[in-house]
Amino acid sequence: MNENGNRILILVGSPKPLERSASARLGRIVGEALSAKGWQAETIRILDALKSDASVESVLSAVARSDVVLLTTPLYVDSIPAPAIGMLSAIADHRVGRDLEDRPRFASILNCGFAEAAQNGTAQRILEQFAARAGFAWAGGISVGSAGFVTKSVRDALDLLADALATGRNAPERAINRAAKNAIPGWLYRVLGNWMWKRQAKKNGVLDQLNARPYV
Amino acid sequence: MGRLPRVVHRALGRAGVGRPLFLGWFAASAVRYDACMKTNVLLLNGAGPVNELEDVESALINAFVDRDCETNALTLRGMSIAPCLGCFGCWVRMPGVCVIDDDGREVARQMIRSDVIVYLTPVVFGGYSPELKGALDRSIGLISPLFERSHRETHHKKRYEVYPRLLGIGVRQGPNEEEAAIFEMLVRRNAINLHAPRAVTRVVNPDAETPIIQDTIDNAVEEVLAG
Repeated sequence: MNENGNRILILVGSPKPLERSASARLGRIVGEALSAKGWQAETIRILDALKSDASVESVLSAVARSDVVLLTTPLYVDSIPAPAIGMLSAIADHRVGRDLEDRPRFASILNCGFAEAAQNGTAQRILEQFAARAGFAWAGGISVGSAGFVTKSVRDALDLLADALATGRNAPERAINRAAKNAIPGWLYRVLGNWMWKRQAKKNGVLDQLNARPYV
Repeated sequence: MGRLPRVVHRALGRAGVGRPLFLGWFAASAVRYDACMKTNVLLLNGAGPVNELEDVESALINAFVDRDCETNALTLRGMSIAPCLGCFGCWVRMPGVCVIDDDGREVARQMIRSDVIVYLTPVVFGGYSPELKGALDRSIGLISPLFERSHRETHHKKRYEVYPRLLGIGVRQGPNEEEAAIFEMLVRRNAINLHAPRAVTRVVNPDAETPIIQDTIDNAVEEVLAG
């Protein structure tokens, strides 16, 4: 615990503006739950933090004064987005080899655009390796499917995660299982998803080009 | 300011932002090796600021050239590839083409026109470097936004009829079984999503003797080209 109380740093890996990001929304729920318990929560969008050397340094400082670092990010190509890898590499390089007294805990929330939360599994393993490499205590990861849609199960899972982080425990199995529960059956997700993609393409006047092959 | 922030910036291709798209690109980033036209290989070199992949890249090029493949190597760090915006414009605004007009488009175009793509990267926490990942994040327009059930999961349908095979070569000093296992899993998961008909992976120690590296690479290249 810091002199000024417990602190959580929420790193958002989505390139979208925070107000339109599912990842940010998931992280905000945990941050608000911890704030209600007296924690100070700070949120940083990784893409903003990479705009200057000074802003990267400010993230490194924020990590150093945090009790918990929470990465909340979408799944991109079975892993985390490139800027998030860059930032985690910078954090790891900064911490490795230093005689650091602090050992913050590191937790993750991953969301993917598929029905199945399990598709985040490889990325969660990557984040666990990062935590070990960078001298964090791995506090576990929550995986959410269905594009990060916040169902009652997901909200329960995030509350359970916040409780665990507040009391120095790892993400409980129950939270992981609740988060991974499908919002809707896979077949229905695919039907609704395909309808949504076509609707967006139609709105943009490119429905007839949805299956275009511009590179052959 | 220390070295690390610049590493991050370079990893994101910021240094190249604003550079005319193709000026110097072929000179700095692409090397074309003449060979017969049987198999087109695209080698995506995901090296960071310190090019720790040179020896392995040479071994790969030797292996492919020895097998009469045409090999095009792109050093991604020298290219202008902005981070993916997550806007899905490549699916619902300009289907098949990223809305960002930079080298990321050209990488995607070359990917789908290849018979084999090589992901050459330092192993970073079991995954790819930011340089390689940045290019791959920008390539999702190669598949359709529409969903299907495949491998007992939800995945995206094909956009193109034929997709390249994948060869993932991770470079890591010293053994780490967990990272090697994650790397292999990542390439295999990528292969499912990219509809690659075959995926082969190896993790190579750059400190190994050159003949050992060449032997490992020859074996991997043989495997990805087989059949």
